[in-house]
Amino acid sequence: MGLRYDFEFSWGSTYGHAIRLVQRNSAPGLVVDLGAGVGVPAAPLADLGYDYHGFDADRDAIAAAAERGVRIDPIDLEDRSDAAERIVSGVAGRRVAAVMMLDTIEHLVDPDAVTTWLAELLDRLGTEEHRPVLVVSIPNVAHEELGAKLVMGRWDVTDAGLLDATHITLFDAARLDALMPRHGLEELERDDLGFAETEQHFPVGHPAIEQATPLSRFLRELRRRSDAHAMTYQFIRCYRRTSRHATAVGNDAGNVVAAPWGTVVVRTQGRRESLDDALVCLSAQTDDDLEILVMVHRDDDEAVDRVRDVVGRYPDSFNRRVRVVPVHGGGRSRPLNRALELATGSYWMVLDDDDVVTADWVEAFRRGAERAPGTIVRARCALQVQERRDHGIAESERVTGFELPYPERFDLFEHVGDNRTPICSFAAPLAAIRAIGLGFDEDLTVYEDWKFLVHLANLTGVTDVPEVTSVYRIWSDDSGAAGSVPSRQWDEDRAAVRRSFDASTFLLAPGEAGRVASVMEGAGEIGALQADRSALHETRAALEHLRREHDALQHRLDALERSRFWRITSPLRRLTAMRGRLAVRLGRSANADGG
Amino acid sequence: MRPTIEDRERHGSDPPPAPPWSLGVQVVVYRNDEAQLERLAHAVAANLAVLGSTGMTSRTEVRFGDCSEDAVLVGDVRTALAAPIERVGAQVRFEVFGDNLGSGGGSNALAAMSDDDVIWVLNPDTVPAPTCGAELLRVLTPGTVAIAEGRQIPIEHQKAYDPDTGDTGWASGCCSMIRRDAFDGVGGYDADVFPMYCDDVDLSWRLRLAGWRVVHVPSAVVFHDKRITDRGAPAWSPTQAEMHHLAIAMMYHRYGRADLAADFVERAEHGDDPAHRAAVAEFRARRDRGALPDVLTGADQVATFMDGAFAPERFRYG
Repeated sequence: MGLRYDFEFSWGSTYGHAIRLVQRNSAPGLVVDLGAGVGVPAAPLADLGYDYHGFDADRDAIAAAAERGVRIDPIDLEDRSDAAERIVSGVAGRRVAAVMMLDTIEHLVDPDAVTTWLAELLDRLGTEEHRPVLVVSIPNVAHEELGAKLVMGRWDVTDAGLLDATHITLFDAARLDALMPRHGLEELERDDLGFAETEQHFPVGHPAIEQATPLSRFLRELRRRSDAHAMTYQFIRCYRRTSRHATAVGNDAGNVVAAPWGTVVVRTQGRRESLDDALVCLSAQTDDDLEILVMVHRDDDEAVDRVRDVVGRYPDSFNRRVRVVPVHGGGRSRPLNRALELATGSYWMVLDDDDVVTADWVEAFRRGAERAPGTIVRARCALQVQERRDHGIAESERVTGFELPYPERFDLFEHVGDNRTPICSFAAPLAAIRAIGLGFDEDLTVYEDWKFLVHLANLTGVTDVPEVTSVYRIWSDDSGAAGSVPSRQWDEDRAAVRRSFDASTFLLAPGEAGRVASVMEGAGEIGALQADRSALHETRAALEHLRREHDALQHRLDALERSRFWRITSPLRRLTAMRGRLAVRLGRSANADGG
Repeated sequence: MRPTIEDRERHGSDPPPAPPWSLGVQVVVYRNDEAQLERLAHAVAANLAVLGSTGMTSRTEVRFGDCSEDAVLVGDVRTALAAPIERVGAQVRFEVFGDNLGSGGGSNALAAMSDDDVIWVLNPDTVPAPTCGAELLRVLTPGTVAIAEGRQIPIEHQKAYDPDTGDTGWASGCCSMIRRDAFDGVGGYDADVFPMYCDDVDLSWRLRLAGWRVVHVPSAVVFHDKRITDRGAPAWSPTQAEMHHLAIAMMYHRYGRADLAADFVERAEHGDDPAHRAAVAEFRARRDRGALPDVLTGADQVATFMDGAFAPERFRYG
């Protein structure tokens, strides 16, 4: 029977990465390799000054290793009742630098029990002065190629690789990151192995995996936004024993903490009385199932203290739901991203301290979300202009009524061209934001909300509700938080956002292909009309040129007729004309006579 | 720079007026839901806490008057409203009128229950910011101001005000703090003539006729639960249209604008609004039996009628 796993060594392989982790994190000593196979790491470890002792259940592999002079002892890691004793006995008091367990955990039934056993083994193999590190490698079941194929209904188990037929438990990054700390193992370093194409890259020509196809591009784009492990093939990690144990992390279904429905983010620089405008609107909401994050974007503590004082005056029933968060540095996106890290609600809303909302702002969003879960909910927004006052009893004053310049319904095409939705007029599902790893672009000075909205709306869609629930206030002098931005920056950021749209795959919802066709037809007609107009312009230009020539000639003729010469020669011209007429008559007479 | 409540708290209070003012907060309730009233109660309590810290108030009482046919202010509702207010050391009082006295009549009845130096009239659908009351009282105390009016959000009232003094044509009854001596001096709200609408305009103009000032206070923020229509206008329609029309007619008459009253009558005769016609009929009936109010002397000094508004407007909605 051939060996199931008989891989050659290279420094770019899992073995190579694992050995480098050992080398960087533990001085030379004995490396205990559990699930050693044929003992591939033995030779390169020896080159680095490490001794090697492997353990495996595969007798054929043990024999093959022995032929190469590599010591591998038999052990059954599924039945660990005496495994640790055998290992300790085999180590025989030598200083253990590391325990390796490469591509093994996923073959075992109970990873929690295995990890507990590993932690205890590390304790037994260590001394008071030294504990060996643990190096593991585990394949990533959330590799983008597996996900892409599964979307199309394929789950291709293979002899080896990501979906090895003998894998029992499957890991993604989150599962591994939760497993180790639970058992007192703290990550020291990682050196994951990544490939875009794996042994799962078949069948040839499958649209979900061939990189040239729009489907594959879209799936990869989506997957790569979600976390950093879209192309991770193997998690290769080094751990050390610690006395700290992480509390068990439940999944979404397991969490029992009652999170609020909404997270409202208030951006403020803490300077204005208008913060009270925003806060009192929030305190008056008919739906108060909220947490409110007041992001104070200032570098001075006094501003933060002032905001805390303002919040502290509100009723306890309100301010216990408010958290004041200082944010330092960065642009307008920084407080939003920080708030995303902290948010615990299901839906996310932003109310800048320039703007105000009606009492049913949250209620209307929630109605929309219940009607169409997982979508962005968009309400109508009024626009009002305000002016600053540098003297008098008011710092500012509203100077117009309400305009309703924003469309009633969200149109993705329209929004790719321009932002038509103020940030206070939509609520976004946090699960979607986190699922695709979306944040606010901190390279943008302005338009950060536009970019965020369009990229998210492309995937979630938008549910419109008819109520006008927010008032977006702008300053008559274009000042305000974004008003100090020079126009050149606006242009550059707009171009950058447009480029980000151009670099993305957009989904056409049912019905929109027809709209595209209509738009293209219209574009064609416009093109033809433009060509006609150009031709018309040319004709007009030519006519104008002829007219000018005519006018010039006429001018010369007029001048000639007014001249003395013309008057003097008038008798001569009459005589010439008479002679001509006579010649004509004489000619006609000759013809009539037949001459 | 104008001092704010934060400045006083940071740098020390101005000496309080001697003595500190006793304050009565008054809310006339009519079929309002409990959640809305609770939000108001908590907000009032927060205001009283701020006022207490400034030393501007002594005794404080919050009075809720129920004009609903089926009383709202009963049982657990009273407990829920009273709790936050009593926690800050203020008194609470509930009065079930058993009849719809109207906003003005209800306010008069609540005011008659006590002799506070100042009364703060609040609509039940408001939520004042925590410093609203202090900002109003700060303006009220110097001596010439009878009414200090809060700034409404999200739909700010469009009427004009003096940018340096805050003087304005009239104060909205949704959030007004009123000197008791001034209020009593003009007989309070005229609930007989204006039982539901324009009572606040009438009170303001009579106070101004008596030499008092009516002042808008932009720093006194009050949330007023009004919604916005799909045309960008405040969503409001009078629950009793006939009474609204009649109130306007009474305003024209009392403040010496017989021309506008005549125009009002004529428009009804040529229009198709039954409420308008009914109001005109009532107006004529009162006129015929001599029941119209007297035209006020000097009315032209205070009254402003501008295309449906009672004051010049900074802008228009809708």
